[in-house]
This record gives sequence, C-alpha cells and structure tokens, in this order.
Amino acid sequence: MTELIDPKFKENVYSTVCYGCGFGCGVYMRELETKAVKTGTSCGAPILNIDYRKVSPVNQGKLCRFGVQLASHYCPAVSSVEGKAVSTEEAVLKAGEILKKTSPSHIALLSIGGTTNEEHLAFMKIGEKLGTPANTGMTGLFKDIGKLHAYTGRDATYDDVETAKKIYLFADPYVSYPLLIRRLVHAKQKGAEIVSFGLKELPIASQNVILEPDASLYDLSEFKPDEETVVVSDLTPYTHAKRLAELVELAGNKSKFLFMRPFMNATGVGYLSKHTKQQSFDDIVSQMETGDLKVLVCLDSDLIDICLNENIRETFKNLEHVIAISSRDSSICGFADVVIATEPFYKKKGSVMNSEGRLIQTKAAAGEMPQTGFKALSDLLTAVGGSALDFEAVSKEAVSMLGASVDEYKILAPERKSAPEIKKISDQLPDLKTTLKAEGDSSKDAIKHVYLPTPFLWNGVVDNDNYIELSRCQVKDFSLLKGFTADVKCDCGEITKTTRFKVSPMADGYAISMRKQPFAKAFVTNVVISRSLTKPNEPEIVKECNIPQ
Amino acid sequence: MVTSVLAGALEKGLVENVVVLKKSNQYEAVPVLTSDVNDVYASVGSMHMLISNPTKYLRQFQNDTTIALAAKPCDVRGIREQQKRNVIDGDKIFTIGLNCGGTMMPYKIRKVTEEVYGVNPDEVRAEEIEKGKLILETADGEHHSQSIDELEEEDNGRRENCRYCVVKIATNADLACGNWGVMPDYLGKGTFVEVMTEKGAEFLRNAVAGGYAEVKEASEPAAEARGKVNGIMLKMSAKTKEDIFVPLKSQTLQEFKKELENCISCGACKAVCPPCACGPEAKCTVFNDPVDNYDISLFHMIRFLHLMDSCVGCGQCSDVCPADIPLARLYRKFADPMQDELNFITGMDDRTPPFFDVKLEEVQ
Repeated sequence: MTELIDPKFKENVYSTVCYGCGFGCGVYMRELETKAVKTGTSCGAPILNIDYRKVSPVNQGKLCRFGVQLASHYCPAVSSVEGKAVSTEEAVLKAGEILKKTSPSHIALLSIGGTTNEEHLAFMKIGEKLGTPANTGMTGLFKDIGKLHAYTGRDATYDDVETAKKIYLFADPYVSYPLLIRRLVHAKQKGAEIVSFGLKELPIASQNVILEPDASLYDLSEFKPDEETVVVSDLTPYTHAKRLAELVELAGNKSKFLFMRPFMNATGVGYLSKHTKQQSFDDIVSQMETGDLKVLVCLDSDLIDICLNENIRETFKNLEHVIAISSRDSSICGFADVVIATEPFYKKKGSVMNSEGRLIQTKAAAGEMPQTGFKALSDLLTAVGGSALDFEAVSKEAVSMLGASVDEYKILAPERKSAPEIKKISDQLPDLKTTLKAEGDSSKDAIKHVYLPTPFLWNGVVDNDNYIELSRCQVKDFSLLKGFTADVKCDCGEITKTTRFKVSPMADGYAISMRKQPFAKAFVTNVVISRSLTKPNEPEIVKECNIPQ
Repeated sequence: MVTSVLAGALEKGLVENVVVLKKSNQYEAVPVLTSDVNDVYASVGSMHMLISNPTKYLRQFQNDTTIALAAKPCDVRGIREQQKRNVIDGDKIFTIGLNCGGTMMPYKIRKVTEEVYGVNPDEVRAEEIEKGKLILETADGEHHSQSIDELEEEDNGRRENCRYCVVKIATNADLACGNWGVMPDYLGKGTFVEVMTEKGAEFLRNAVAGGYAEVKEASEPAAEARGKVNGIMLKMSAKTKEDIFVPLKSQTLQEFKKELENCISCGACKAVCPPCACGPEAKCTVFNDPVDNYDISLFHMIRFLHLMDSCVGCGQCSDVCPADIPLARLYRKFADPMQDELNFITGMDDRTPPFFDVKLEEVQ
C-alpha cells in the first residue's frame, strides 16, 4: 500500500474477530498512530478504537460488553529473556536452545485457540519436529467419551438456532456467550420454545429448569429432546465427560447440537489437532505438579487465567522453563523466562473458525499486517531443525484440513460420515456427585459456590462483577442487608472475603461468581456465608489466615 | 460535486484532511482520514448500505486537525450536538450534507440481495434508490429492482429509524447536496447544492475557482422539484411514525421492562450515541450498579431522560444492540413529545439544548 495517509495521523484499520469467546464476532480495530493527539495508553499501545462491522454474518456489528471494550484489552507483550527485554529474534533463538536440549517427553506445547489457524498449524509443525504434540487442552474430555466425540463436531449453526422450534439451553447466554441472545430473541419471536437448564432463571426462557451441576440428565423429566430441538451447550476446560456423554446419549440420535467454545479459535485448533495424541489441561497441570514437565510452551494460551485455582502460580515454579509466544501482555508473560512477543491479534493475517464452524478471515481494511507471529514460529521451527514456512502454503493446508469454505458467508461442514452408534457409556464414567463433591467445610451452613464463566474470566480481564449472586431465600437465611456486604469463607477455612452480593432468580443452596474468587479454587466449592459489618464503599477485604495480620 | 469540493478543499489547503470511506466491497467500507487527493477521488459515493458513525469517529482526533467530510443529515446533527457540548470544534470541521432517504443494514441487505433479488451479492457493483425502488447494478451491467415499500413490508428495506426520520436534506451542514431537483439535462452529472453557511460558500467558491466544479443557479422548477421529493419523503415518514409509535402515556412500566429484559449491559448504545458527550463517568453509568435489582436499570432510565433533548434519531443504538432491543424507538418515545412541544429539532441549528437552559431554581 502506498503511503496515502497524512503522517500526522496514520490510521490502520483491521477487519478482525473479537477474542473474548468462540462466538466469532466480527469487528474492526482502528489503530491511530500519531504524535498530535495528547492521550495515549499507559502500556505503549497505539490509540485503539473499535468500529462495528455491520456486514459480519456472525454478529452484524453487534458486540457484547467484552467486545465493546475490546480496544482497552490489548496491552502489547514485550519479547524478553529472563525478564530482560530483547528482540523477537533473540527470544526465538533462546527458545530454540531450550527446546533442543530438552527431551520431548518433558515438553508440553499448549494452544487453546487464542490465535489464527495458520499460527496454530505452524506451532503443530514445531511439535512434530520436536516429537511432542500441540495440545488444545480439550482432548482429555474427548478421550473419556470415546466415539460420542463425533457428536460434538460441526452441526447446528446460529441460523439454525433462530429457526428451531425448541431450544434447550445448557449455557447461560447472557454472560457466557452474549451474542446468542439475539438469535434466541428471533427464535422466540418465531414461536420457539426455549427451555433453560441451569442454576439461574433466564428471562429469555419460556421454561427454567433447575439443573444442579452434579445432577444426572437421566433424572430430568423436562429434558425431552426430539427432531425439532437444538441443544445449545458448551465445551470448556470444566465440562464434565459424564454430563457430555449423557447429553449425547439422550439427544444424539434426534436433535441438533450447537457446542459453544470459550476460546476464540478453539473450534479451529480442535479440528486441526484432532489426529494428534494430546494431553488435557489436567494432565499438563499434574505433570507440572510432579515435576515431570520441564518446559511449557504456550501459544496465546494463558494457563494462569484459565485455571480457577490461583495456586497454579506456585505450580509454575516447578517448571524449568516457560516459553510464552504471546500477542498481548497476559498473566503468563510475567512467569515466562522467554517471551516471544507477536503482533496484537487484530493485526494477524489468517483465519479463525467460530463455534458454528464458520471460517472467518482476518485482514487489513487499511494498513499493513506485519506477520511477526507467523515469522517467529517459522524461525522457531528452523531453530529446532525444521524448514522455514511459507504463509500461503500453511494457510492453504489449514483450510484443507478444516474442510471449510474461505467465504465467511458459507458454512461448509465436511461431509458427515455415518454417525457412530450411540452406546451408553455415561454409567461407566465417574459419578458427578463424586467428581464435583465440594471440598472443605461441609457444615450444615455451607452452600455451594459455582463459577459462571464469562469472556472476562477466561481472559483474565477485570470487569465490574465483583460480587456473588444469591437467591432471595438465601439472602434472608443469611440475614444479609441490602447495601451491605457478605463475608464468604472458603472451603479450606483459611480465606474469608468480604464481598458485595446480588439477589438473583436462582436455585437456593448456591452462590455464583463471574470472576475468580480467592475463596473458591475449583469449579464447585463449599463456602459459608454470613453478614459482614463492612459498610458499603469500603475497600474490598481479603483475609488470609496463614498470613500474619 | 461533493468529491470536487472535498478535493479542492484539500489541494488548496482549506483543510488538512478529508474523511473518506475506504471500500472493501459493496457492503463494507471504513472511514479513514486522508490528506491524499487520490483517496478522495477513489472514495465511495453512495452510502445507502454503508453506515458509519462520523461523530464518534471525529472525536478521536481531538480537534488537532482541520477536517472536511460528507455526511448524512443525522450524522451532521450529531456533529452539531457535539459542537454545542464543546467536544468537536466547529471551526475545524467542514461538512457537506447529503440528501438521505434512508440507509440499510449492510448484512441484511446482503441477504436480501441473495434471497429476494436472486442475485449473487458479490456481483453487485452499484446501488441507487430511485422512484421508490432499490436498484442494484451487477457486474454484467444488468439492473435489478424491487419496490422499497414491498421490501419494508417484510422488514427488509431501510432501517426503522430512517423510515420515520424528519430530516432528509442536510440543511444543518455547510453545504446541502444531492440529486433531488437535478433537472433532466443534468442527470448523472449535476448535483443540487444549497449553500447553508459562509464557510460553505467559501468552499464552493474555492472549488469553482480551482476548476474542480462549475456552478449554475438552480431554476425555480428545480428547487420546486427538490422540495417536492423532500415533501413526499417527509409525508412517508409521518405515516410510518403513526404506524410505529404507540403514545408513551398508553404504555405501562411493565411493557418497558419487557422491552429491556434482555439487555446485557454492554454499553454499546451509549458508546455509539452521537450526541452523548459524557464519557465513562456519566450519570447513566455511575448511578447504575450491577448489584441493584430495580425493575428497569437506571442506565436506561437515565438515558431515556437524558436523550429527550438530544436524541438525533440516527438509530446507531439499535444497530449495535446485541439483544436487538429497538432502542431508537424507545428513545424517540420520550424525545418526540418534548422536542415537538418545544419545536426543537436536535442538531439542526445552534439552539442550546432545552435541558441546558433549565435553571435549578425554576425546577424547585
């Protein structure tokens, strides 16, 4: 492109995808390079603004709370070796040295879908050269459900949701996948019956059925999927194999599925990596705990942000090396001894696949795309003994492996092989009551604390959600006062947090949080709640009993 | 004419930059600031399918440069309201207003092209609205047309707020331009221009003196023809308004609660609102606490009141609402009675917004 823009105001505009979740919302990022404008960002990023991409077939320009604030979530990473800023080339060489001298069995590569298919495929090639797979983290779940895995692939689209007669919701669209709401609104306007299964009542649902995390779907008389039903659920690091298996067993032969993903390109990387032998998140963390894992390489995947247990930060100390290949300065960059900083995601050329299986190209509308990330991966591959990669060839290979159309207006699902016979396996899987048994204080006063993940939680971004949600009865039982706070004591009894609370239409016996809480280190935990005497507007108090007060 | 005036202004140094729409395809373009006249000549002409938000766009430059741009009447209304709120410096902006009968949502019209016109959307090269029809021209030179009324019966035509908009000619800009009133001899090569300000006259003189454009005084029949088209458009708007709007006093709080129940508190409606100049510490956000359990969020209640004297009816809020809440319609329900009573059309002149004139002691 010729230099057409006044150097005083150089504007670059990129047609990209919001990285908040796997919905695949199209958005423009507008980057203003200028010395004239007085404001800037503290972390050295150029001035960014979003523009609404109203031609996107996914979101038609609409964005959720995370997307609207997208421009403020980009803080560029800086290449470094042992905390010292270096050039990207130097960081790549250092990473190459570390990987070459480490046995493949002691290396784990993690790429959950935080970047393009092209970069993930390049990462896979590094894994192939090293003799260790690139893990997406979800394989443990799929291993457990065996052939039923076939039913979690590309099936219903967002348009199918809009035209469905009956929709069964197993995820909270309001906070977890907010752009689903308008699809559900349209479906309801066309007469669809929407049944929500979960702990909270949803205004969009015509029927709300309380489904506790450890309940069996076989015991749920309201769950009657048929040919006209679209079942909307999600696949996250905290999805349990038994719940997934039950869902497929009961609905697989009749209904359509739409499995949402919490990570931007989780669907794409899932398809690209499907033939490799991978480890789950739990496998990786276990190996870190035992010290069997020496080197963890993360490609735009922040294990610290994903993990609900903040003790993971301590577990990282067991590793000899952490290599973060990252497009933004996320939590893991602070732990990595090698950071390979790449261009921000909005500047990356390539494609991502959203939860409905749509391939979306990310490109420049005005400006250039530096491709430093792809080049760094290619250089790293060379450093470990491979050959340099050509972007166009890798891109073509990715599209072919995904069996997708490059036209974002067409969803091309690969020809469906005959669906495997559904054999009941859920009864052989660990019982949810045992798996999700909340640890800690099991006194009669304890209730269960459950996380309701949002794009903010998955991506380690703070939002104005510093409160817990409780039912009205629960608030009465605990004698909590409106405008005051509640003391929430953790399962281990060592941490108490004074927090605000919100009355929500939800099941008794539960507390819900949308942000990581110091008192809850697993998806389900026991907590004890009592009235605190802190006045409103006082600073948040977290007491840790093992720290001298 | 519009391109000529902008090019002339840039080359002769009347402005440092021009905002142009950089087109990716028939349905997709982004506004970009440029100081290169070639960009001006290459920019997009018609904007029926390309909805930008120049008011919010201009804010990022913080009045550090002089800018000329072409905009729809509602865009110019937003810019003028920002001027009143001291956010945009009117001395640094030059506006060419474009006649506007309405715009269409890009994704929706793409789908309509395929499903109603039976045309491959990627084959469309140009579009025009003429005599109540939306005409698409494909790469092979063929014209495909559909009645806008029929499209709108299926909610496939213009955005809802455009259908009841009361400003079709941007007489609030420095120059008001368009093809309404262009007599047959000049069709396709002429533009009807109304000079609205001294600055507008200066820019037009500059274009003529520099050889960018020629001007001829409009004949009486031409002016009448222009007024007639405007009158028809306004009549249609009045009819739509009658059809769409339920009087506010007949609505219950429960109905508003129902309309807003799917709000996910994204804040996009405020972020895109052209007249809103409050910033992040606005009353609507500061008084709105996510732990509150009010029947209707204070965020919306405050905005309903706040926008009574400032809503320009552009529909940007409805466009970006992820729950498809008809926000523009809700805001207009509050704004119309007040603006009608005070004979105040937001963003059309320099009148101080009515709320700014209210003295606290008068309220007490």
